[in-house]
Amino acid sequence: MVVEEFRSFSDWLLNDGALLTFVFVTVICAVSGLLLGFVVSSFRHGPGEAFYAVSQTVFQAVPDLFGMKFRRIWAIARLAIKENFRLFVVTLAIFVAALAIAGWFIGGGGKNPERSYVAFLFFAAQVLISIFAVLVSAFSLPNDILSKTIYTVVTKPVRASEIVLGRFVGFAVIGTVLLAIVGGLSYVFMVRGIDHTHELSEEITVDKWLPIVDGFTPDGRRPFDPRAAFESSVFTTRNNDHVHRLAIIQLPNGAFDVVADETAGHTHDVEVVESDPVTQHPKMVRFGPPRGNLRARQPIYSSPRGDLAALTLTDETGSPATGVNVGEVWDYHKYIQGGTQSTATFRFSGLTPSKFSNADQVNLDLNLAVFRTHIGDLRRRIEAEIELRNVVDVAETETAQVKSVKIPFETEEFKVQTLTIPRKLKNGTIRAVGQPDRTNQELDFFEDLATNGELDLIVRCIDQKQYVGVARASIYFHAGDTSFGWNYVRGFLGIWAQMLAIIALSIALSTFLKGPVVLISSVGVVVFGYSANFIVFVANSVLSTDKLANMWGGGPSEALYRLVTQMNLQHPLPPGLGTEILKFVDKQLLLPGLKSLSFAVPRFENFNLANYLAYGYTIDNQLLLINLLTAFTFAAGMMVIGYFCFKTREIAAA
Amino acid sequence: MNFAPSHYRKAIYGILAAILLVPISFLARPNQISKDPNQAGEATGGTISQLRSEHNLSQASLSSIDPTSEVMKLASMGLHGIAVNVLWNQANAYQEKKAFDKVSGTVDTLVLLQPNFISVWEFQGHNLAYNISREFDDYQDRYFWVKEGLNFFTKGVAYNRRDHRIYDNLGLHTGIKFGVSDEKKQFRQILRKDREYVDTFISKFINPELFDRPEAGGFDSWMLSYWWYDKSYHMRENLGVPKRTSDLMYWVKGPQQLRQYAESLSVDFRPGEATRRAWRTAYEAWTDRDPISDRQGFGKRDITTSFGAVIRLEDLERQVEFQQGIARRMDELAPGVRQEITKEKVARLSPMDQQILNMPEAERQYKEMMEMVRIEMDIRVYEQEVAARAPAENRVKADNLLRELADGEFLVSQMDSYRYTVNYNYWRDVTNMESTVPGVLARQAAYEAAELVRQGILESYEEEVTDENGVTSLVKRDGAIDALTRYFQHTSDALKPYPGLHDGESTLIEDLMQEFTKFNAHLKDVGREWPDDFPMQWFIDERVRRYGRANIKNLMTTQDIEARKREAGLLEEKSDQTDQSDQTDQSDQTDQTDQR
Repeated sequence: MVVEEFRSFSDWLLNDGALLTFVFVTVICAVSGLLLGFVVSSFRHGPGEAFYAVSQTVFQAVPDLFGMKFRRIWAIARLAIKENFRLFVVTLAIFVAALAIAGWFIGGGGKNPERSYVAFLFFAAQVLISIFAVLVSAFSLPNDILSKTIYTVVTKPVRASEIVLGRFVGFAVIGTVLLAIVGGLSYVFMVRGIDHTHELSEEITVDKWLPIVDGFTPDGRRPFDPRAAFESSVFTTRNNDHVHRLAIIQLPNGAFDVVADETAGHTHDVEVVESDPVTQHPKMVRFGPPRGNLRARQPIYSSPRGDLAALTLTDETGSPATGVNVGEVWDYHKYIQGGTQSTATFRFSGLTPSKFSNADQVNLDLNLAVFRTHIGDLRRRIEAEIELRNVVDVAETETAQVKSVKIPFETEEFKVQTLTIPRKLKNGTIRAVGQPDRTNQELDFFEDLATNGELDLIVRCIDQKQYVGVARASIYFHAGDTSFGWNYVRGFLGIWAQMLAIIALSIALSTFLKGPVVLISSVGVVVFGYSANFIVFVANSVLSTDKLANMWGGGPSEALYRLVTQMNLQHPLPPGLGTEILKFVDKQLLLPGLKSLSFAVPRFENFNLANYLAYGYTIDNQLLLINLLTAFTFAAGMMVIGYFCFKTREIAAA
Repeated sequence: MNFAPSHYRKAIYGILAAILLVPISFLARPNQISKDPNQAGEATGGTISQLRSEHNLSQASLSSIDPTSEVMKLASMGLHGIAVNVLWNQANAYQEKKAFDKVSGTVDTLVLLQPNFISVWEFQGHNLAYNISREFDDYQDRYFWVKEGLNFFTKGVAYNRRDHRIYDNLGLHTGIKFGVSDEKKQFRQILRKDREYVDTFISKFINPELFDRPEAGGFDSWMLSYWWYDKSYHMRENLGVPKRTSDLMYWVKGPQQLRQYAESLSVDFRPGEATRRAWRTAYEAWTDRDPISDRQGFGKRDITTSFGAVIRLEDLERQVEFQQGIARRMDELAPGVRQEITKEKVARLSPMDQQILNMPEAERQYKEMMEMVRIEMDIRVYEQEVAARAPAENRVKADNLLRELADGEFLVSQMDSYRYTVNYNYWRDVTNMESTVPGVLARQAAYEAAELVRQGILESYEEEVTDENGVTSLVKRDGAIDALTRYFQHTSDALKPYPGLHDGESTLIEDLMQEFTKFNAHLKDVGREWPDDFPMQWFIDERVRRYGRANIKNLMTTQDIEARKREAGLLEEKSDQTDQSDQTDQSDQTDQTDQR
């Protein structure tokens, strides 16, 4: 899976400026709120009275905050739940209908059907819950005010803060229940959709087992399992839009083990039911349920060590380098040249036996890219090798350098390739200062190599003039798997966090806007949040003084001008006052304004954690924490704004 | 301004909506199925429905109605154009980030929104089969994605029943990806036995037996592409689907696949009678009638040119003959005029040009041949010149003939140029030549030679063979040089009847020249010289005569061989003389010794 950002919670909060942004936005909001309140009040009561009115509003917030009673909040929440129950049912019905139609689009075929399932289900849930959240919260308060039923509430001994928070709690509860049902249904839908078994399409006779000669099957294929001694020309029945092929692996004791190939992201356990009495070749087999597609791998990625980056590269002379760009638009993989001194060094920490589900053999997952500069031997994949080294503390000169034997392997591009490293590694080398090298040593992975949990892993490409591409997430130690179901719940927590943010936003807007306006505004803010990364990207590129970084097409008003006049992006704008005005509006007003606003709105796309599930990785706790805190903070901020707006609103005037 | 109470306002809205229904119903009323058999198929709906039927744009006439696609279009509430844009960008972004399974899923959704826009199918199918496939390092992954691309096209068939281009693309991509790409050897090898793929995906469209060829070891990609094109031809010829591409490039495809099939049989396997038959089929499909599908051959197809004329490539010779007939009739109308004009033009030539003109053709060298092109232009007699000197009483008839001639010349030039575009003559001669016995024997010898070279056996050798009776004898086995010599002998026999193939820089000539060079290298490897009786020496000499010495690089001409012989003869003479003088010296010495 592609992981482009490795952020811990503390990094995000302190180093990446999340806390600073929060403080900054809070101060700006507070100051502008006070100013706005003062100006509006000045028009109503005059400047002198306005000062007292604003002060009074601010100071009354303290008892309103601390005097809140859960009983009253819950009473309002229950009301909110009751009045939206019908919408709840309708939304649920729509989701069920969407699931029914989804069956038309999502099949079991393709390379990884679970990815299609997860992508669709999360997208559908996210869209539906967002619409539900906006609809329930946008019209509630404005409708109450319009129909004057709000009087029955505000005339009771209930605080404005309780009215605002009560609605939030009510909507959050009904939304959470809806999300839980949607999550449950979609999980069952996915598991049922993926679950299947197969039968043999025809009986396997002895001649259907084709021997592997020189590493290839008679029809020119590379066997799907490198250990295979025979491959079958018989397929399983086509279920869930795919089939599997079988291979025989001859075990050291002479017995036969049958394996099914990995198709559509999974394989099946195969049990031999009947064998040929003479040759012992399997004739009838039974297939188990699918294995391998609903996973939650727990990766241990490389991490920075002191001043050293998590991943460093060297060029063909062995000097530090940034890696070769082989001409890809996406600058994710950095390439190292084969047959030279070019290497990629991954630095790992925290590799202790307790972290691995099976410490006797450590799984190393690789997801490398490959680039050929010449065709070479097409039947062979590009070869690379890894080497494990302990970390030598420069201060302690007595520490010996311990190196494993170089482990060669054929790369498998765009696949998660697992190399199993036994805990006891043979043929290692120990080099101590002032002593001859000790070769052919048996090394213990944890005691000799990953001493104190720290380890360096060096990757080289063996084939000359060919390249292997690496990124930080390309190689990781696979500690084990967690429960997919639990991971699914964590994925839905992201959607839940988004829902809370949207509900709070709509409630805050509904305290001073009418229902339809709230609806449009909320959708606008959500779209803005989704596009925030793009907006910042455009703003940075247009505002940059570096001409090379400038994007074609300029800012929003320039883009609009080009769109209307059908002018292409490269064509310079006609010189004149109009162009100057356009550029001024873009560079001085719109882009800086939009960029600043983008910091006040959550990046909604970050709440979708479906990729982790789709590619079979455990959702990182730190990431989940970041999402939840972002949503809670935004919701709290919106509640405060909502409270003040509601408090200062003249209900009777509505 | 005073507003009416809300219920009045709503009533007015309702009335307005009802009034609007009248023009909408007039415009958008759907087609009704008439029970009257006389009116069956006639458009009976509103204006839009009638226009749709008139232009064959109704969904039912374009494709089978797919509920999924219709639901998608409805769900996008008329914004499916925008949705397509978004999905297209999304697919691009996924591809950039190498999330290829997502690309595949996205384009599957995309085509549901725009199922009848053929460019979407063409672009995305090509993208899957070419761009995404080549991203993978393992050829088996590439094979998977080529199939994904082809399967993508097959999904488009049902949506585009009135468009043959989906089948054309299937033919094109099957042919090129399996038959021409870097991995063609591996791809074709896997496809031969890929029954699961064939049964699951292809058999819905083409009977697998049609391209399951025993002589090709299983399913053949070129035959598969041939049948895809045949599906397209069926649409055009039997279902009356309108043409979307130029006739020339359209009708050439089917016969081209047959030719490629024959070529692949010749290269991948030891050629034999099956190969010869395949070449014969390719020849017939190219020139006359396709014996497999029983469709018109390429040369006999009506081809509408860009000028609107309808031509048949195979008619060129007949048309030229017709033109010559007109010239003869012109001569009858103006007896002796042509010879007279020729004489005048020859007289105007320079002495040097006249010398070249009078030189026998076989003696003309490269330079003279080039000059002759110009001289022939100079002395060419135009029919207009003849007509102008025709007797007065025949002038009108001569003018009429000129007009006839002009029309004919236009057709000849069109046929000539269209033939040139598809290299018609060349492929006609090649397929014909390859389908002869010497042609196949040459291929066999080439195959054997390549095999022997691979084994490192260059010279003939003797092998002990024990027969059924246990008698052991020595049998002479050919080496690569012998096999190549046989190859050149058969090629010479096969090539001689086709002078058109001796010219120019075709791939055939290129291959031959390479074989000569390899042969020369093998000879040097074993310390042998270029043979005096090289079977294709005539061909090499011809090349030198036509294109100069540089064309044959370091190969030997007959002159070189003769010079070598002369040199060898001189040397022999010399060595004879030396021997004699040695003997004389020795006898002198003996005499001297004796004297001492």
